[in-house]
Amino acid sequence: MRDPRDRLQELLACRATQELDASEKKELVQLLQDHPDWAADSFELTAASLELALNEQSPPLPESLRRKVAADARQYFSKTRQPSEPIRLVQPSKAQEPSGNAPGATRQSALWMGWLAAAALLVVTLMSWLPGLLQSPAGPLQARQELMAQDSEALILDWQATEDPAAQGASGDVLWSVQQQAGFMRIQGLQPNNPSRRQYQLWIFDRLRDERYPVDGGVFDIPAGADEVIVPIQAKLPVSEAHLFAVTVEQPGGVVVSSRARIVLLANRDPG
Amino acid sequence: MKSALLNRVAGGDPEAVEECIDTYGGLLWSIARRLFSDKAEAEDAVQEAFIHLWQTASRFDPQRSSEKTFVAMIARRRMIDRLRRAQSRPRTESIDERLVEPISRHHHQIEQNTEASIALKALNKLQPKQRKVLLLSIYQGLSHGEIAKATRIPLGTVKSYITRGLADVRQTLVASNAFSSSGRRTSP
Repeated sequence: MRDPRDRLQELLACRATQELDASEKKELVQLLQDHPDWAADSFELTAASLELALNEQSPPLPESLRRKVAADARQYFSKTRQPSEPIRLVQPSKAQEPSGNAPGATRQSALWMGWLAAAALLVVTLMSWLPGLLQSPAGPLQARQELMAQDSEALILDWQATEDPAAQGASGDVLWSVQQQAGFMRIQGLQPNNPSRRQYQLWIFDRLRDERYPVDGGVFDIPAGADEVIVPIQAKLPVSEAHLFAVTVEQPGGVVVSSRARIVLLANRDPG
Repeated sequence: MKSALLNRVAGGDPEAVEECIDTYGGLLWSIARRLFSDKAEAEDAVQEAFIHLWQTASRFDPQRSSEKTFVAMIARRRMIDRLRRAQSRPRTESIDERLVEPISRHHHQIEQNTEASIALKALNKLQPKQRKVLLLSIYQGLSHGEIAKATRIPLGTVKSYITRGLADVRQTLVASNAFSSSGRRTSP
């Protein structure tokens, strides 16, 4: 029988050099639990050491890019100084997990043309921000109300459910403050998901950005037994003029370029 | 103090953030330009990697690695993720037989007795084929499947070369007290 430590090393090496799929991630978590003497990032640090060894003398960061990075940093740290809110369920319900493939056509699918050609977007995993949110003392409802009070010009748009089976009867709204670069989704009636199989992902379309490159607003879950959830929006790039919000069903961890196969919710600033 | 830079960043110190961008911007740009053939995509990758660095700065532990190694790890993690998901093509123009030759670097390019210099020595001790596969993975950013196709080495062998290669390099780092056997650094 194969030594599980060999498999552990294989997965750690794979993680350090290419992405693991969902089943491999699950297997790695289990193996790391079984072998606590192994650090999860030990091979990643080794690969990083090699990276530094092989890296030629680094050219300076282009000034235009440096300015963008610095602007992103200012946005990021101004956001993190705002109170973050945990995901909290308000009232339980009996919704089902989304399953099967949805019809490709949606009422506003034309808005998604060109997405397949999109080169890149932020990769966001729930794990990167959820721990911080869970430590927050205040509730999301209160935080949402505070945001509305702080920014009287914050955008509030109603969700429109598409024809996707997971969206039938879904409703709610999305609140977005350009000033605070923060917002919340309020969602009722969207089918709960199994995070190991699928997750929901928010996309924010910004008028000042290429339409093919919507900003990733974060990956999130609808737990079973909830009929309303309030989810903090985690835009990973500054959003100047949001005009469309869309929620898709994606693989665990989310994607960079959506296949558009399953769009469940849309909130359009300029309907029609 | 240099080792405290990321701790200051984690605390939201604006001066530390600026210093961090100046210190590591070139490194991240260099990695991105190598991994992404499209310049605009490389720029996006750098922006994304820095945001990930701001998110994870508080996790830096000087007992585990140098700050530079930690930053390189965070950048690689995010860029590899992006590379795979976007189905982007890494820059491959420099794939050639020179990859089987030992790498020689001038002393001024790598600080001696750092993880990088120890890792380089370990890399040069690998068998030529194993070294080539590891370089295609680490330096060129090719997926295991792409390496198998490019080198006509079976996929299972590619995976084995990469796993054993990283394990050997890591073992050398452990033996040099750069990392401990659990992946923890034993000397600052």
